[in-house]
Amino acid sequence: MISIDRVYKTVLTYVNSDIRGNVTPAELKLAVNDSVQEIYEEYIIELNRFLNRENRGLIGGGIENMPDRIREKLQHFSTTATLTYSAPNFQLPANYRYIDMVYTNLGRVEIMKNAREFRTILNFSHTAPTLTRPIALQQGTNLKILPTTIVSNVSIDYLRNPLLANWTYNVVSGAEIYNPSANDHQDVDLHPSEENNLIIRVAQRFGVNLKETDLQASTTSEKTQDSNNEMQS
Amino acid sequence: MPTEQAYYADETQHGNYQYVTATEILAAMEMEALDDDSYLKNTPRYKMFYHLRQGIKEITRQASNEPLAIEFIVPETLVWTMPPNYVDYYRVSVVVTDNATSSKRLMPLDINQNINTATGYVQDNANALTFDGDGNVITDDISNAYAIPYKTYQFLGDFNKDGVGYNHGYTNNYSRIDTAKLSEYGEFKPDPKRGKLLFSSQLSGQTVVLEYISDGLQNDLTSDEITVHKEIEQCLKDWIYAESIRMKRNVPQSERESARRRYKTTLHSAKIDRMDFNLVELNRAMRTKTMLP
Repeated sequence: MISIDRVYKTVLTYVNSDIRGNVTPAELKLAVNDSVQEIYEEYIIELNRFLNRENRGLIGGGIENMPDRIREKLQHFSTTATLTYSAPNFQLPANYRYIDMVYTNLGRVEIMKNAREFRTILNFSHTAPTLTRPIALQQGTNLKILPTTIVSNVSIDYLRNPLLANWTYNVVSGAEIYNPSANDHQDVDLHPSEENNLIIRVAQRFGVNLKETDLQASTTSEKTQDSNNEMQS
Repeated sequence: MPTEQAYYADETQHGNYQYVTATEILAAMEMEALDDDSYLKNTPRYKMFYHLRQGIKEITRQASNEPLAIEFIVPETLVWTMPPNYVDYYRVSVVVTDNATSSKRLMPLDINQNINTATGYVQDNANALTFDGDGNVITDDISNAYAIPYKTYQFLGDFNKDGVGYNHGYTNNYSRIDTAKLSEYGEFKPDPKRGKLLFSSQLSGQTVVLEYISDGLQNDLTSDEITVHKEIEQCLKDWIYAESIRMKRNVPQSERESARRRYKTTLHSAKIDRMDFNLVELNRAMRTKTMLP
């Protein structure tokens, strides 16, 4: 988790001025959560890019192993749950975003890429699903698992949705005072290493919002520099 | 792995150590595919399992050298249905009692290609073909061994003795006997198209042992408990790897060729391992020959 208060204060340092005006907590919430979503989705693209570099022999094997570092950031969202059966399908958890692995007490359930693959396998007796080699097809938030005799003891490892960050406050003498004890308080749900990345992205959004070209330009430049550093590493 | 005491106490465990299950091999291949730079990456498990099954069939046929055996009594029809996993016969023998020791011994039967297994065309009075309502020729067992069980000639132990026997009607003229058609213990003929074994009449009611070669999937075609001998385990893994990458566009030709050659090498090793050939046995066989009068 990243402290929402620290992010807010840092962003205010960049953004607030007499000329630019103030960033309100409501605006901050929108900008932070939008940035979190963007960072989350970019992990997968980045991971793929770095895997390609790794396969060309351009990645080190220790702490500098970038695919492992990105996976570590993704694992921040990894969680496990038991799937509930509602005939004829299993229900995916409400907060799931990507399936990592589904398994029964007898082994892994193989997730099919699409309905065509799913049905093609069924028509081929050599690869028909069994209790030890079950297959599944995702349809919306349902998971159809075959053979149909599997109706319980199915678990899922998955990447959940990030929690929505919320800078909670009390208004004292017309000013917002940070209140981390509020029930709906929520720090930023990202790997701690993403704090600087997040602040730049949030500041960039406020640059767009405030029509401040210098703020947009500087944050964009910093993002580009970060990206170049990663690719040249 | 059970303790030695548990092993000896449980008969189902005996000999298990020689074999690995298909499930274990599949798990090992899935593990290989976990690496980010593995050519097997993104290969679905069901495809690996398909290649595994095909590999078991192929390697068992070429290298297993592990015939199965069943024992049965030949019925009066002289026709026996082959086991469902039959691929080819290794040896067919009749069980005979050794008079000196009262023990049972296997005496191999001779194959007789003269046992007729041909399907007959049903013809009318004018010898014209007959057809069913769909326009197909009507066939039936007419004069083959299914319709008329094969009666065999009686073997004469003493060819110099006068008597009635196999002599083509030439009384006491044994010089005309076609000894190629004689069989001391009986004859058989496999009919793989119909999945039957046909026997000569002297075997009716006799106990016969069929040793045959299967495709390695004999336990149960849909079971995950298919087992293979450890001596062909590596060969099977190499087959799965080679077949899994064979049709992948992003795998270099050199890697595919290397995988194919690796499979052939381990297959060769597996064949040698499974030949059950050793010099001591050879020496014994040679010694026996020299002791014969």
